[in-house]
Amino acid sequence: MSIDKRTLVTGIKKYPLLVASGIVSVLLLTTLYVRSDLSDIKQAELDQLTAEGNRYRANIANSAQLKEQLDFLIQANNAVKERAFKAESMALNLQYFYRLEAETGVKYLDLRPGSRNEPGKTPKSTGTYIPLNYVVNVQGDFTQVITFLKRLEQGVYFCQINSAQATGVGSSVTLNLNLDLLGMP
Amino acid sequence: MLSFLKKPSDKTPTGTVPAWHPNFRNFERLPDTKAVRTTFFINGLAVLIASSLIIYTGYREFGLRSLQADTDAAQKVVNANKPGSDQMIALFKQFQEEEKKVFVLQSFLSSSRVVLSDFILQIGASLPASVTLNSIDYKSSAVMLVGSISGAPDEASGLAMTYVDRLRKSEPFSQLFETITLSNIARDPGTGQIRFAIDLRFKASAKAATGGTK
Repeated sequence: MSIDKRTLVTGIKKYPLLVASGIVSVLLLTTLYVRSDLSDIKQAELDQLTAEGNRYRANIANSAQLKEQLDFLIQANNAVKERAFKAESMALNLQYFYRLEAETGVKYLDLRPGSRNEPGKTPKSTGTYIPLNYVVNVQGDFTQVITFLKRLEQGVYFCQINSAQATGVGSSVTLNLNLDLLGMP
Repeated sequence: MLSFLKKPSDKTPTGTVPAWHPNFRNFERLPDTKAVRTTFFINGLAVLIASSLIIYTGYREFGLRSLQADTDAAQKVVNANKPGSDQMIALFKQFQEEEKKVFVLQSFLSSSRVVLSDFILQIGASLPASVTLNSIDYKSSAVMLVGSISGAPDEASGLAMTYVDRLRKSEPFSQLFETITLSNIARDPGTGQIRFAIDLRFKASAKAATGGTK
């Protein structure tokens, strides 16, 4: 069954169109087979790049005012920092209470750091800020005590009252407070 | 019909005798005498297949080229937007850090049920003339009001109930408290006044609704 060269040449000469078409077909089929995965690979690459491009564009579009908002937030947080106590400046923090006493006319029966942040103990941190616990017992007339309480709650520093007991005897009011002041470690 | 009228011949028929010589014709070398030659069909089919393959391959290659062009365009978009996006992501991380501080502050402030000074003033404003408060005990879950009522004991006890009803119906208190109950009422043997205790239980989700800003 072997085909010798002469027979082959004769065959080619006899059917040139058939042979040429056959060769072209074989070459094309080989090309199609070899490059059959290329289309899928290119499509996947395009999809990935399109998704990536869309994500980047969306990031930019969604952050249109991010810089301004961040600047505002930094400014606001700096303002809050100025209204927070330093945890280690225990003596300086007490000055705040004594200033309130002088300004409102109440008298302290008791003023000390609370059990949660007694000297030597580190207050439990909640991240950036920490609550500084104080026990405050003041006495004065109703107006003085209310003024003191208002200054404490709505003053410069952030204050959180955990519990309070107000008792009145005659014109004198005694207010016992357990409070947290916003502090920074 | 004429064949039936013919007289049958006595000679033996010669047409039915097989050929006596061999057939020397070489059919492979003889020319194709069909109206349309077979080679035409074979060549035509081969050319058709080849042409179809050329067209299909060309179509696929064109598609690939088009995909490549789209990929290049997408790559350009990525290259153009990536630095800006990276910058914005870095800004957003910074924003999240700053946002955390706000959330901590919000958490610190939101645990407050009331602005106590405003609350005491509201309690004071709600008191009837004959009712005196001796103490206000504020805790995160409840407020206890202890006071006394002057006047005849039978009227005084009715006044205590009326005061509790008034507190229940008062909008700021009803919004803030789940229950307002008269927990104790008794006559003070020393002064003869009626002493009472009112228990105000905060709602689970009550926030600092009672006036004031921080």
